[in-house]
Amino acid sequence: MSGADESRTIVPAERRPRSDEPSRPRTVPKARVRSGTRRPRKSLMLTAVMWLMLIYTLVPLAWLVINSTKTQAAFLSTFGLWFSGDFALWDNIGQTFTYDGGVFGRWLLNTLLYVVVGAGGATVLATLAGYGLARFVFPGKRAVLAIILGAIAIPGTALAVPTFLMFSALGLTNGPLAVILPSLISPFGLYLIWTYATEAIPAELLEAARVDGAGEFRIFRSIALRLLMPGFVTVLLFSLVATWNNYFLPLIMLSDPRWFPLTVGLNQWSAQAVTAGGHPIYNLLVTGSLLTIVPIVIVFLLLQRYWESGLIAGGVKE
Amino acid sequence: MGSSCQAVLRRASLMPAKFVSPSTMSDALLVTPPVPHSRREPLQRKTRRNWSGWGFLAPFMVFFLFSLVAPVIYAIYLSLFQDKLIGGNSFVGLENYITGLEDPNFHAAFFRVALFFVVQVPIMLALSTIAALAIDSARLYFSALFRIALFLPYAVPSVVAALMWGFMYGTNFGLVGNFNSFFNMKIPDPLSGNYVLAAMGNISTWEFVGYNMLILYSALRTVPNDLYEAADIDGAGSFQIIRAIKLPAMRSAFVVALLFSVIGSFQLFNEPNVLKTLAPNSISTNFTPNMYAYNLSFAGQQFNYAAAIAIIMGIVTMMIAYAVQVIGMRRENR
Amino acid sequence: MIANPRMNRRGFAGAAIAVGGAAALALTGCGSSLVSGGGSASPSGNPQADIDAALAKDATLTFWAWGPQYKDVVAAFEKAYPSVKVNLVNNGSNNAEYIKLQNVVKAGSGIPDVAQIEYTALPQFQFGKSLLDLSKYGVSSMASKYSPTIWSQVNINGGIYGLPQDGGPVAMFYRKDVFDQYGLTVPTTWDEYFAAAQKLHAADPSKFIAADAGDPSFTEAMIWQAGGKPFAVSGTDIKVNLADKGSTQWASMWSKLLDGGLTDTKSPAFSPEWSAGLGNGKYATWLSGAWAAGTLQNRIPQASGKWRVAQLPQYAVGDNAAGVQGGSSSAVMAASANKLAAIGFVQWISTNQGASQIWVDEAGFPAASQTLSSDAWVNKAVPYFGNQNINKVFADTLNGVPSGWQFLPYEIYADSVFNDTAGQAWANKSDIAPGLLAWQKVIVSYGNQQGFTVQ
Repeated sequence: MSGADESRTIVPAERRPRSDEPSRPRTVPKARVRSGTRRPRKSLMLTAVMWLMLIYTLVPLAWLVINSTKTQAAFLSTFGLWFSGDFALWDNIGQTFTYDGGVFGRWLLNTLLYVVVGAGGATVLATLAGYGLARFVFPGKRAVLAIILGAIAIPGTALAVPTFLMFSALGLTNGPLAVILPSLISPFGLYLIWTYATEAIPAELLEAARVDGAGEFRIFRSIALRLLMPGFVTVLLFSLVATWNNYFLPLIMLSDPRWFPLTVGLNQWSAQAVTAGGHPIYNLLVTGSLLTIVPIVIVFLLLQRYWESGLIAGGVKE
Repeated sequence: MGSSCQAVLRRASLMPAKFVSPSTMSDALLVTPPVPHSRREPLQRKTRRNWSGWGFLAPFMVFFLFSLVAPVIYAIYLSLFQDKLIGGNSFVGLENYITGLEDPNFHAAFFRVALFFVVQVPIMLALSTIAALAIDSARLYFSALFRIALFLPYAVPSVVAALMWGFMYGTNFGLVGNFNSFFNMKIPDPLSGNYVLAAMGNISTWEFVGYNMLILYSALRTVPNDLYEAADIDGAGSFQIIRAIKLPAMRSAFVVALLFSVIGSFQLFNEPNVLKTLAPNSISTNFTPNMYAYNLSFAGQQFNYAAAIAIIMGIVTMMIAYAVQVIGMRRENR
Repeated sequence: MIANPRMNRRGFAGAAIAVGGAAALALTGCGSSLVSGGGSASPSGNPQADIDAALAKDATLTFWAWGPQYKDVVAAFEKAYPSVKVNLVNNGSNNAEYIKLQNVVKAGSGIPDVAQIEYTALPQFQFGKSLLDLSKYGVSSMASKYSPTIWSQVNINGGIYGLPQDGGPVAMFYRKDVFDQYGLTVPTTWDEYFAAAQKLHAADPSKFIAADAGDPSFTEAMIWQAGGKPFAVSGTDIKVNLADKGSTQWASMWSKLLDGGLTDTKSPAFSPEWSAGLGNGKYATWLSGAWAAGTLQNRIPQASGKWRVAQLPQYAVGDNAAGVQGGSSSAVMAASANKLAAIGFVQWISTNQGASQIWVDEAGFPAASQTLSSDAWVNKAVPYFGNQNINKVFADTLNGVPSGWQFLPYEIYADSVFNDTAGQAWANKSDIAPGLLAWQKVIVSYGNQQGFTVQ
């Protein structure tokens, strides 16, 4: 599942040569092969226990997939974990996209916009800032740290109303900026890059470049960024997930359904089913939920090699 | 080079971990900053052009101040006033805070999330630990499959997860109902008053077991191989290995996971909010402190009081998180 | 600021048209102020003419509404007045929309021109001074177009704050097939209702006389029917008495059903479980506002032909009393920049014959008395209800609604805490009267905290 070197073990610091090559993404060894006396036995019982956990994890997702294939009527009347007679998945998907003037497609585009600009921006900002914090000493650094850590302790839901009032005073609500601006801050990303940069970028390299007369930003762009790449991708991935699943703040900020992201839109469909005049559209709700999850899962699977090495990199010394 | 293992573990501890309900990106990260390993880097070498550091930090800080700090300041400002339907706005100082601290609704909400934390988090972290150990032990068939599959629920938006589980919990035509009628069981209604908190705990556990598992697993991966070789030479059994090598390796990561679980539990909002329409009598408007603040703001138009409640919660959360961190770090340094 | 150029253009166009419309109004001499708060009567002295003139000019209106019938009604309006464009936006139903509406009013931006507001919430918005008083535009003369009951619901403190769009006199919907199957007679009094409930549940414990998870609007409608008037509002003085004669009468009657486990308290209205139960005969009756006829036809098509409508059971034989549950009006927001066009719009959708026809065809309940008394409507045989003339029942019901009912100026909040307080009686299947008192306590304390004088 991971990259090239399947059997490479992690070598402790004393023995590891200094890593000067920046570009190879660190990969995760597939299985721990103890170069010693024993090979561990594969355990059936352990596998069985883990299978239980796996079933627990996957059952709701299976439920989602199965019920996306049912029509509205079948949804209410057939057994939850098995298919009904009709296979209506394509129908449901079509209906999901055409219901209410194609608003689902609009929501999808909105989410893409928020994710690309928001997550992309957040990653860039976090990387710049993490690098700065890791490799420079400057006045006010401690204060910055304290402020960052302090501000994010306050529950986000509590900040929703003041943020809403502030943004509406500035005329920013009810548009994409209302969603994008708050999502540009990724304290987790900042932290990860900071840790990563501290470990992965040797000061000597930067020194050498500076002695050669390179400007700080050029140093960052050509040297540091490459060393930081796994961490960068990690932060990108997590930001993607977070902005894709962003729910609460857009719920408060947006009152025009044309700007909803998918999460808020689905919630509206769900609430709509619970109203006097509303048509229940549970099948569309379920199908819409499935469609919301699929892209993220795909991105995940594609990039998980980077993500794992990124998470680990902070724990491996140079 | 010093105590390499311990330093390695300290690195591993600085992993971000789970959020129970990541409502926005602003969940807390209350760990100490990383100490760069200062083997060959005398201090003045890093003191580079004092202000260029700001150049890199500035863009982040600008948005940070705008999107996070400004609303906090505004929230504090709001909490010092009171805006009534009749009589308008007036400065009341700390009155909102006093009311909040004496408010039985707030107490109920607070103890509920504390209970949630005390029960759900240990269960979830225990499951994550077992999973991490199992996957790391190389005794599983298809361990890669487990890694990915267990992580998948994290990709599901919590709103969607709550909706899904809400459907499945239905006692008429949901899964619970299906099981009851097809298999003649008598599963109680998960959304009734007695069980609804457990039902939500289940949803949270489902969402985050894999995420935490991965954090702990990553910490496990950093254990150098010669430790295992030494253990093999000494003839240690697998449980001894777990106790002596693996668990200590995970300790710091565990503390961080715990830390985020504290914060996430106390901020619980998405799941009760989504499920409220399905169980209006089981889930009150003050089910959790966040819900209380939300309903105070939006149904009752009491923005000021809500801001005070939120700030109280923020302070309490910070205190508890700090306590957890102190206790956790102290044990590590022993 | 807005990243998407598509929307930017439209937003600009809309703004340009609105500005143009306002300019046009200024040019015609209509000096109606664009400042929020009650507008002054048009200086030309003939507001209706001004309104008509406004409809002939270009204008764009934003209309927040959730009812399914509005789509076609709006389309018909745009056909009749091609120069006026209406953006129909669904921002959630009932409370979800009201919360958003309150938010945008407080923020001062993003406020629509017209909003669908139920009669229960109208006083709250009127109190917040966010609605336009239509009486200043000569709308009071429209009183004759509506039934007195319905008209009284938009009449607050002498002003008119919305035009009625539908109504919700409560009737009893029942499943004829279930009644036949278990040999039940259609109850006309509450005692008979109770007896039928017992007989049904004894014969089949999986069936209930009704789904009943505790709902504030239903509770208030029932108290209304019993003649109770729990809320007395006069300015900022409020008297709350949820233990008055009507409240107690209903509470003790309904508690019998709860105690006996004769209603299903586990499925909230409109939940999937509830929909399933209405469809498969689990619930033998549904006591609800007349708009429920539309809901049944839209949501539960599989039970076509099985439902009938009858008058709500009474406390004494021969009575004809009913409460009102729900029902919406269309209100013009005071901050609207297109007041005259907005008023013209709500006038049209509320009383125009064509609009009424669409409304009724899509199973809405009409508010205009012209439709209510028209032969076509009253004697309409509705196939879903076995070709019964259901509207006749509704028309009779409408006549029996006691007058003088008032809602709280913070009804939205009160409703939001109903389940926390009174709702616990349903959760525990205990007596309702203490639950109502708990609700009353919270209502009183909130009101006092907000500056009202509440007892």
